[in-house]
Amino acid sequence: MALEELTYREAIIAAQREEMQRDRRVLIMGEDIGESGGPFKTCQGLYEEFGAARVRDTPIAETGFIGASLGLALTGYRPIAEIMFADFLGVAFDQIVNGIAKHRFMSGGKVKIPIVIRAIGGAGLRFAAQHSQTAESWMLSVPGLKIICPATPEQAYLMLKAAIRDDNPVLVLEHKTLLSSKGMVPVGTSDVQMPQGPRIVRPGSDVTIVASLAMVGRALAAADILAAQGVSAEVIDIQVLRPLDVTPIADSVRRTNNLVVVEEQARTGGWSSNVVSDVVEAAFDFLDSPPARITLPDHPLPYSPALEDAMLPSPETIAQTARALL
Amino acid sequence: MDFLLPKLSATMETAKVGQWFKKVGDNVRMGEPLVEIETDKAAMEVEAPADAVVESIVGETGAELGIGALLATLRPLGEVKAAPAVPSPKPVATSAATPAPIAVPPPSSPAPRQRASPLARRLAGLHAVDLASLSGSGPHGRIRKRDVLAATTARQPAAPEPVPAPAPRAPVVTAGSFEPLSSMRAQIAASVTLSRQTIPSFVLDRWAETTAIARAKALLSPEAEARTGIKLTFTDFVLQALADGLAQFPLLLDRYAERDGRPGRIRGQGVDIGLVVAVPDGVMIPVLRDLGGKSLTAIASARQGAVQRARAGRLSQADAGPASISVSNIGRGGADRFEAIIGPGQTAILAIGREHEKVIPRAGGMAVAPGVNLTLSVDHRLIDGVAGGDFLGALADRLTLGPWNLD
Repeated sequence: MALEELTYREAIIAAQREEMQRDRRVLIMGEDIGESGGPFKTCQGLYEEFGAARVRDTPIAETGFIGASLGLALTGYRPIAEIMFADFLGVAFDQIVNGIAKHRFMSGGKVKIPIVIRAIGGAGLRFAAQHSQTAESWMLSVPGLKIICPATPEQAYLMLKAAIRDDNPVLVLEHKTLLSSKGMVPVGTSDVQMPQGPRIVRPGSDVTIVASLAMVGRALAAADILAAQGVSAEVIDIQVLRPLDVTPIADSVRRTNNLVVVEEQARTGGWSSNVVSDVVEAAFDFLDSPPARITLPDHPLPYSPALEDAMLPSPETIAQTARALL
Repeated sequence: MDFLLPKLSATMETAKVGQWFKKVGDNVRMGEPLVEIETDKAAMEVEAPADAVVESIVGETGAELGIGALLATLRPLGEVKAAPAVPSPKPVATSAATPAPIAVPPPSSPAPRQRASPLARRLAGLHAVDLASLSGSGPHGRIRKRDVLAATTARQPAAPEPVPAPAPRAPVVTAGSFEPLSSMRAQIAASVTLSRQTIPSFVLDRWAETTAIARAKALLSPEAEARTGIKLTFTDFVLQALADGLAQFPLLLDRYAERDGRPGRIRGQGVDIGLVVAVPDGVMIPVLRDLGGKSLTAIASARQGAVQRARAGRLSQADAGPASISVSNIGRGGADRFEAIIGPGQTAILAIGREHEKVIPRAGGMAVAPGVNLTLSVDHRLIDGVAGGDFLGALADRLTLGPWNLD
């Protein structure tokens, strides 16, 4: 194991490469992931190293290659399917929800479904309404699926490796504005564990701020603003959306007594509602203010750069919301 | 309705009226402190029995009154004042001379719900702060944690005031001169004298190993603290064991009493245990109610609330009342064992000496283990040596072996 500074993108490539080297049953499928290395270059170099039999370009047909992943898994392979824009998960909804997520259960546990679906989502790069969604909550209510959201290169590396080794289907939601972010990554780690739940990325004592993906960085920036105002914010990366375990968040709220949840999704039906309701249930007597949710408005993301920026929760908005609770 | 002086402690005969929190014409809400009463034990706030208007105050501040004396008259809200407009030939008697109607439950007046955060509500309960007396600093006047904490700190300096005792041991006092005791010390003096003169007690002793409690405490306390914010103490484990023991030996819940010169017993109902709390210049014994089957977290929360109120000199009516047994834990004090004096009206008191190590025989060899002396004083009029010994033995086994029930 060696600690190396990698981008989020390089961390994804490294995780896939190491697992493909480790296990011949690991394959990758997706649109433009072969010779061209992926629309976001998240598979760069894999085609050259492992060849077209294991790094397979597919037609523009998500239902087809996600369905093929299920077939591969049922016959003993460990496929990774890349969805170039998380928005396109909707195309393969039935394969994921009624096929992939159900087979282990419907076979009485006899078959394993070791599938990883990587989907690159998120706003901020002017991709407009149909190419900017994070898809975090679309499949939140599907038992049988794990949904993870790495927010740093290190987490992208470790969690993807754990997902590839998992015998259950895992949906990995990545964020396109994070692809170039850099961080230290323990390359070559052989023993990886899927995290059980959220992790504290910055300890604090006055208010708990929970976020996912790109919002984690904005929550940290908000914590800096708050610190300058004398408010100590604890920032928690939710990182595992399904199964959702709020225990560390409830523990944090028992200390801070105040909760803000930030998510890059429309207000209705977002995972932050589950976080708030579970925390209220677990730590009601420790709340000193009504928990606050910061979300996108219930509106598709606009193409206009000015409007897109205005829709996304800014560090200032997060800091202001947190302050208003105190 | 008449508002009478209640019996606030087992030995109380008379009490001094302290400060009134309301004046004539004021509205008072059910449960809101109305007047402070200084008994032999402590200054206590007596709460209004109903939502009402204060019609008259009879017991003036400073007056020494007997149990049942009229303190004030209240008019429950919603009840029309007795025809004040019609001049009757004789003024309508409103004083205590007229048999007043039995206190009726207050008509439900939909008082607006006080806005308070869940945390503020819990803290208010813990510190016995009346939310109705606070104004909230949050949005819509919501009471927040800081408001409750401000109220508790604000009254801290005021706390010594109800107990006029601890006049600093000033060098002004000349040696050999007579110095009257503080009212708390005087009442303690009366209490222990009464106990020694009237309760023929005997003492039982047992050493109990505490290794298992230390282990259980290390294991359970972090979880309890995470869940409730309260650390478990050794006393909580003793209280849970004692509550179990009392449920098993209900004889110890009985209290000796005489009626018309005939000796008798008053059967205990719930498992209520007095807890001796050291305060400056004395002790107070708040009663923890209904501990039977209670979890360690529930016991710890009741214990912490009572101890804090006792130390702040703010025990309320709910902390007083009959109990058959009290516990006195010397904690880190210097004595290996001590015999405590049974509170008048009670049947037994358990004195726990300091934790210390001892060489004990174990499995054919010798071991060194920590433990405490359990010293039980009991009233021989109700309890004999065999019963007392059985109870103490069961208690020691329970303490040594567990099990401990966190929730």
